[in-house]
Amino acid sequence: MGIETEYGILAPDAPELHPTVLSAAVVAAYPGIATGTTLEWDDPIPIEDAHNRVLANGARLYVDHAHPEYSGPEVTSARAAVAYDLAGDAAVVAAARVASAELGAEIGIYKNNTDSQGASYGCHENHLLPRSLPWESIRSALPAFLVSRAVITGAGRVGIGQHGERSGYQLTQRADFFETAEGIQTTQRRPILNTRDEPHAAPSRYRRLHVITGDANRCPFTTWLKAGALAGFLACLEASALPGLELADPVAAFSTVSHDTSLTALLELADGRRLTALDLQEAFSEAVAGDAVRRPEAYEADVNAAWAQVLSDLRNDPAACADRLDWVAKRELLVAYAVRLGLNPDDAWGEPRLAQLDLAWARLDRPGPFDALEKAGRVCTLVTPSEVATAGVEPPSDTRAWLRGTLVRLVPERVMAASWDWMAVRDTDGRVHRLDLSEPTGLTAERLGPVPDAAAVDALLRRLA
Amino acid sequence: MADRVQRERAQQRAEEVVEATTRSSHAVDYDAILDEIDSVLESDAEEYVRSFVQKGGQ
Repeated sequence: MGIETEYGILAPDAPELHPTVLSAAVVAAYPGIATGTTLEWDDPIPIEDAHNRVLANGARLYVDHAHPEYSGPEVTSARAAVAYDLAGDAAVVAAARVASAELGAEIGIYKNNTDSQGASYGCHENHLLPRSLPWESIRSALPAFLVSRAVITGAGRVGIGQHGERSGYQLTQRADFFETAEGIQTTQRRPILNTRDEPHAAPSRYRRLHVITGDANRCPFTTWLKAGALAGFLACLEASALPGLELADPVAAFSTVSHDTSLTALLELADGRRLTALDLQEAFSEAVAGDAVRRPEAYEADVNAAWAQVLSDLRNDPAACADRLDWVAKRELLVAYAVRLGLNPDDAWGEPRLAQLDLAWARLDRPGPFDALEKAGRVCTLVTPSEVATAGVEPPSDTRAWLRGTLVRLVPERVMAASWDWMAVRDTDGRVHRLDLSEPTGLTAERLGPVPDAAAVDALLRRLA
Repeated sequence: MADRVQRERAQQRAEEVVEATTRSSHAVDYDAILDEIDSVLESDAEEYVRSFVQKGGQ
């Protein structure tokens, strides 16, 4: 699995710079070890193609639709997904700091998904599935899961509607931007089910499930559960062990769930039953727990336990999840802020100072409210700062990202091209070797053995030829 | 009777303590946190929020 994040970007002191140019400056300025970039502004290559770098941790950093985007390397556990997600935040912030100094204008980096002025940008999740799993079964099972999980995965948002035209607080950043049930597109008329299926692996054996409904999260626990619960749900789907729960209208239900902070709204199922998002999540969580008894090796036990616990806490007292879930943590802080401003929290959501706090929550390049909560010990940390630092410079050892990242780390200047499933690397004699990385869990640290330094790369290239 | 009154008073005290602890921990926590972030919030919130304009993405 892997997580990709498009970051919000803003340089108020340099309004003349287009966000694509700002994003390109950030990508170009990444100070860590990475493949090169082209900085010729009059280069015939489109700016987005020229600014596409592979980092020593196996991730990709590039410009996408006027945003800097980080695609974490392929990982096999939710915990690793968190470490590489946080490493991505750190990479973009470090790059923005250098770019700010170069441009002489402060560049703000935001981990959110909307400006509440009509624009949305994504945080996508990718899961590798066997080709043998029919799309029909994904299509019937997945929407109810993706819609109902907003009670867990929502990042929280001040404002309702694509332009924030109504005041209020909702669970997610993204729900108001979904307008259709199924489709291949991601930038307009966004679909709950995205059909993009570029597996970046042998298409006869694999499918890539590209999930675009999620929010970018600040709480590591939320990211962890978002990645882990979806992986568990998919494992359960493969085992045909899920209850049949199909929503009558997933698009409408997504808004309903997102706008309902009481978590009591009833959603109509295709068979006429009416259940809440919590009911649905509990049914999925129980099915996963049941299948995990039979096939423990297919699941992460701590994810399953945490999932059930969060659902129970949400059922009893959502505020109890303020240490784990973004939308709850942010809401508690916003309510305290409203009280401090002398406002009635129930009808203060139109107050610009609350919208400002929402943006400050997402801002990564300055210490803000989230950092203050974390420092005060009110946020479950999940991974240590040293694990995040390691994830910034080392690829995961148990996927093909190991080979990609290792080559970039040791000989970045000799990596001529790098994609998810192949690379072209020059040896010291100048010969270019094309490497096949099409098996996602193929070229791991275990398979490759030690590659201690640049001097060992020639032998490795010969071995892989 | 006396026992019951005492039990009820003890129960009431326990509830008060819980409530006070919860309230104070919330209040102290959030106040300190809000103090800390006051300095990072721009003075003109309305202008700041209005100027946060992004291009659409995926």
